Amino acid sequence: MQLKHPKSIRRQLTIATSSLLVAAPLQSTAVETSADQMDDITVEISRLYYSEDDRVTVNKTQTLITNELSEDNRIKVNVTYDTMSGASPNGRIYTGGGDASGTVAVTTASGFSFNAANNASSASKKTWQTPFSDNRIAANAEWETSLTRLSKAVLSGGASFENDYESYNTSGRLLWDFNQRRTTLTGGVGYNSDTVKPAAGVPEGLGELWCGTIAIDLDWLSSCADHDQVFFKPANKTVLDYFFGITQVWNRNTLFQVNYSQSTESGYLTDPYKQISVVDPAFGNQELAILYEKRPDSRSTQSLFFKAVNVMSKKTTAYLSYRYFWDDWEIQAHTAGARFRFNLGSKSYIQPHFRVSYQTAASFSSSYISVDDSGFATEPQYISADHRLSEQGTVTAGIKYGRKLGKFGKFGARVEQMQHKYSNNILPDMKAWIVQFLLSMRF
Amino acid sequence: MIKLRNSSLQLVDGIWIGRFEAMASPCEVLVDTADKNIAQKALDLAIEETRRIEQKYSRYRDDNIVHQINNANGKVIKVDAETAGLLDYSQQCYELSEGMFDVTSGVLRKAWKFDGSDNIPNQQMVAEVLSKVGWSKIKWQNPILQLEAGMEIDFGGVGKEYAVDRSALLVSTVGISSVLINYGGDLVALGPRANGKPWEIGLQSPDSKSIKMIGKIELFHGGVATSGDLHRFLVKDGVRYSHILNPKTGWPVEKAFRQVTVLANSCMEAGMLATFALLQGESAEEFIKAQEVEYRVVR
Repeated sequence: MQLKHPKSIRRQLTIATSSLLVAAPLQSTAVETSADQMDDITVEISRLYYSEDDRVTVNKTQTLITNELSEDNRIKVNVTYDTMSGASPNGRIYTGGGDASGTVAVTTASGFSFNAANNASSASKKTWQTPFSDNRIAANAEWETSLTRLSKAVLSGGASFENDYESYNTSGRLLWDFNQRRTTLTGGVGYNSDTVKPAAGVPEGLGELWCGTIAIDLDWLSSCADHDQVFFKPANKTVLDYFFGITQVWNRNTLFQVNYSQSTESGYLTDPYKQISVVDPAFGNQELAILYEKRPDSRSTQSLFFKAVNVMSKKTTAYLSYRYFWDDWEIQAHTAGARFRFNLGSKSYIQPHFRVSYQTAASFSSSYISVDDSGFATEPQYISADHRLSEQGTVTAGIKYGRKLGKFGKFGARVEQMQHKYSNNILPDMKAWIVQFLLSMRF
Repeated sequence: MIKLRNSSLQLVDGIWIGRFEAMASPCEVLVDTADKNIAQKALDLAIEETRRIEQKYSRYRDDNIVHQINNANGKVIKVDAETAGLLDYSQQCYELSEGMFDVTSGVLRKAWKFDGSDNIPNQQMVAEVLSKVGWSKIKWQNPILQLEAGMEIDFGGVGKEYAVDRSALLVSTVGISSVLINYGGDLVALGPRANGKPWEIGLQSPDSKSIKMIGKIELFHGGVATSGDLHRFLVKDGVRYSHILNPKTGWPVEKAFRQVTVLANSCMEAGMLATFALLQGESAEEFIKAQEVEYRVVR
């Protein structure tokens, strides 16, 4: 066999060679002869503790089972069980104890219907704590299958249940390798259908929860005499999202990834447990009434994500990422992160990580509604005092340790601390700790 | 940590030369520095990596991935990432060479024993083993591999060059670029010598048992590899049968060049180009010319 017209293959060979040399890790790992028969089952169990000081505690237990059905098919099943307890700010400003600058009141996270009378009695305490507990169970199954030698599809579906919240999701994704497998294109769509169902139904936005003893005259507020907000039924929300991504092996030590995603939420997007105070600045922000918050019934969000991985040396790999998020509620958020993995021999590693983030407030974010000298306030179209929609920044630092256990096992431990700062001085700064343990075994 | 055996480090004409044996070849790591510690570190890294690769990919062992693949007996095997990379690379080389470079062609050895004798196999023996050759017959979907029973994979055609480039990659972390890595004539220079001058590479004659130098190559940076039939051929009725076998016919490539040497970015690339060229038979030189690389051939 001879080539009639010799052609140049050198460039393609250069690409193939450098991507081979990139692909293998720089560390000369201990001799591994890991060939497995098929029908592998991997079980991974992790336990996460999240604790905000004086607020919310979450325990999350997760079990992930991966089963290789055949050379072209793989199934993953993920079951998560969370227990949550504590309290989180409900949006009301706290004026108990004559503190005119205001402290934030605290509400249940969810699963507990807020009762103004109960809380009024505890107003003398520094913070309003309402004991509660809720739990969530979620299950998700994913099927990955090869379409051609260079492409595959991933289909998934799942559901999650809380006392007062139900969510069902389904998604599909396509991955396609080309350019000698140096480039991977990804695209996908996802759909979520959620039901919010507090014990008494969801409140109407801007509906009143409580009127104080001082008479106020807001013509848009239903008469205080009626007193009770009428709760009816659960509410629904849907989320449709799609995304595109590209991953590129750049050279023997570097890889880049860019993802874009867009998501459209519609339906009941208000948080039924968040409220807002109507206050009179002339009387030290005396709380005159408490209303339920109200958000638009649609939201469109977009995000761009960049990631770079660089193998710096035999022992060190750096991961850098940046995410820009924006939506039509006028929230813009920037998150930058860095992780450095240091191999300690061939079996274990430590990995410190750092993350900073900043976000602007939603256009309708406000600490409270204040009345003017004549006791009048204009009706806002939308308003929320939810701390998650206000201007804020976070700084996170943590460290992870990972270790191989024998031939088929892995152990990991992670601890991190997040500092939360709000530009609005009514919201106190917050500190949270996360501790996670992970154990993985292949059978 | 793998124990370092049978290695030496000597200062020769101002260059530290580390020597060891691996992959049935004499191996050298030349470090142009006065600092013995740096040279020792470079040598240790090269030895460790080379022994790792030899242990993992040698077809003469029964405790490695190659053995497991070749003895899977038709079963599906899931391979680790590094092996997957080599299989992807093998596939790309198969495609780029239009089927002439084939990592499944090792079983042809069962019919052909290149010992300088006149033992030419008959057509039936060749046809029998040829039925177990052909990349297109295997199922490879990273990281899953399935070979028909009786088929084999042999990374012998890329293993030494891979070890050279991987060693270079690791040695580069020591922080010196005046390094030349030479494993049995397949070599790579991380950079020029400390004085900025190129490394001088002697070109050996392919004649059996000769140590005659037939030329010189100056190398600043990159890889050099040579393919040829040194010591490995059969002669019958005055016809010399090269050990370069055509995986499509199971017979030696006709009118093969004695030796092709190529300079390229890396040792693997040089090795592949030299092998592809040799597989072209009498058009070897035309092929290599079209690649626009520096080369030497011996007909």
